[in-house]
Amino acid sequence: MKTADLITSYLNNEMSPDQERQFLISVASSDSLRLALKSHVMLDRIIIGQVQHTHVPEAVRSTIFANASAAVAGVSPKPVPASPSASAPSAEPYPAPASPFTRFFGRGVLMTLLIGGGFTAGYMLHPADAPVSAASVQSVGYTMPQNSLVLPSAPQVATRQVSVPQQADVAVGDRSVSDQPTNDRVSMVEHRHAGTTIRHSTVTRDSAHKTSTSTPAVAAPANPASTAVQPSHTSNDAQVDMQVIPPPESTSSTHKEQGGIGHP
Amino acid sequence: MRKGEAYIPDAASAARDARDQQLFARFVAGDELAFKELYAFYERPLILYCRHMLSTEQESQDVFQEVWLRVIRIRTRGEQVERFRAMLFTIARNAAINHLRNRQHAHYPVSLSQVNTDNNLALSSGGSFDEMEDLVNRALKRLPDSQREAFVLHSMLGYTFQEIADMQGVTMTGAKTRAFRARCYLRTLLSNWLGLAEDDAEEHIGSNSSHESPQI
Repeated sequence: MKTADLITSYLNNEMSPDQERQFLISVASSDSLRLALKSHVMLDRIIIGQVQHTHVPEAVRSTIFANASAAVAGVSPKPVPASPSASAPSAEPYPAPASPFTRFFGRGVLMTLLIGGGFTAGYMLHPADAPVSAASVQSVGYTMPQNSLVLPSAPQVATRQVSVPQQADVAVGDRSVSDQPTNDRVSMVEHRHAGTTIRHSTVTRDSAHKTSTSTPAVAAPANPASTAVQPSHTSNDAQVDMQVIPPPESTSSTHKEQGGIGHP
Repeated sequence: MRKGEAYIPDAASAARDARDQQLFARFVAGDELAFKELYAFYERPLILYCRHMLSTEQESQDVFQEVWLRVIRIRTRGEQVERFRAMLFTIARNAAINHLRNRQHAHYPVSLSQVNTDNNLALSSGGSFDEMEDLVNRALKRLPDSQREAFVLHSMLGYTFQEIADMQGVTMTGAKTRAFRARCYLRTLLSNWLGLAEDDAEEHIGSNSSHESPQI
């Protein structure tokens, strides 16, 4: 028996246990037989790998399928009955071929009926001399798309930029408003009501600094909440401090200002 | 089996032929899905056959596409096919032969010494499984067409020797001999390659030990 036959019978499990044992002893003792067995196995592995990793490019496949679709959608081929074959017992019987007369008239009548029916239906639904109802005309309206509308221009708001105040402008008493030059606008209003002086200082600023303009001559009240009046409304970037300065004769009486800026 | 003799398929071949015949009949009747099923069955075997019968990838794809277009033309003529697989690979074989003939392609079998030169080249670059596969592919290209075809059909596509003999027009023994010779050639090539690889590995180990011994 040749080496190739021995290897084939061993790999196909066609050896008896004694033959297999003898073959394995021969493989262990002979380098050439060992290499022959190894090359046989490697060749099988290469073949299996080639079969498994073979693929067709998608472009080729799509071309073939497109041709098949065109052939199916195109001229119908002449049907031929399946040939009776002993090797194909499960083949479906193909319908008997129609005669050319039947095929022509079957197809022609069907096409004529379809086309004529389409014309008739179209005429019945929309006859040429039928009056056009006003409702149908009115219902067809054109709505201008929203994007094409010309919107009125936004009202122009006149804004006046106030110049940056100097420190001297807001210095009241011996304290300055701020040590840093900022882009703040400070307005001070002083009211006198029943002998009580109320000073409003409004600071409009970009930053969140808060300044107060209290004078050290006025003693701070025992309860700050009783004198420090929070404004009821403030703008986004304005902070208002109010300080109630009691009259010199009665420093205990305070006046609570509940209103906003400008309330007497 | 010679041409003209009665074809006696085994059970598996008969079932496969019946399935293909049914699918092709549906395709003739206008069922496109039947064609896709047929294509799915024979896509890989056919492209593999084309790749091994032709030299370049582009040629194999051209022939592959041409074969399926011929099948579609057969359907357009409304013909029925009893043995679709045999017909498909006969078309592929004829297309490949025509392609080779038009290109005046010639195959010359190489001697083992030339193959061994290739082996040395492959070994010098590392000797991985991919290189071994490439070596087998190159060696397959150098085989005679009849041996290569018999080997590919039998070992890769699972054709029986009877079917190969029917396709090639030779006896079954002749087809078996062709496939056997091709396999022996490739196995000898691989055996030499592996032997050289082992020798090279032993030399590499010996040189390493000789380098290491002075250090010890």
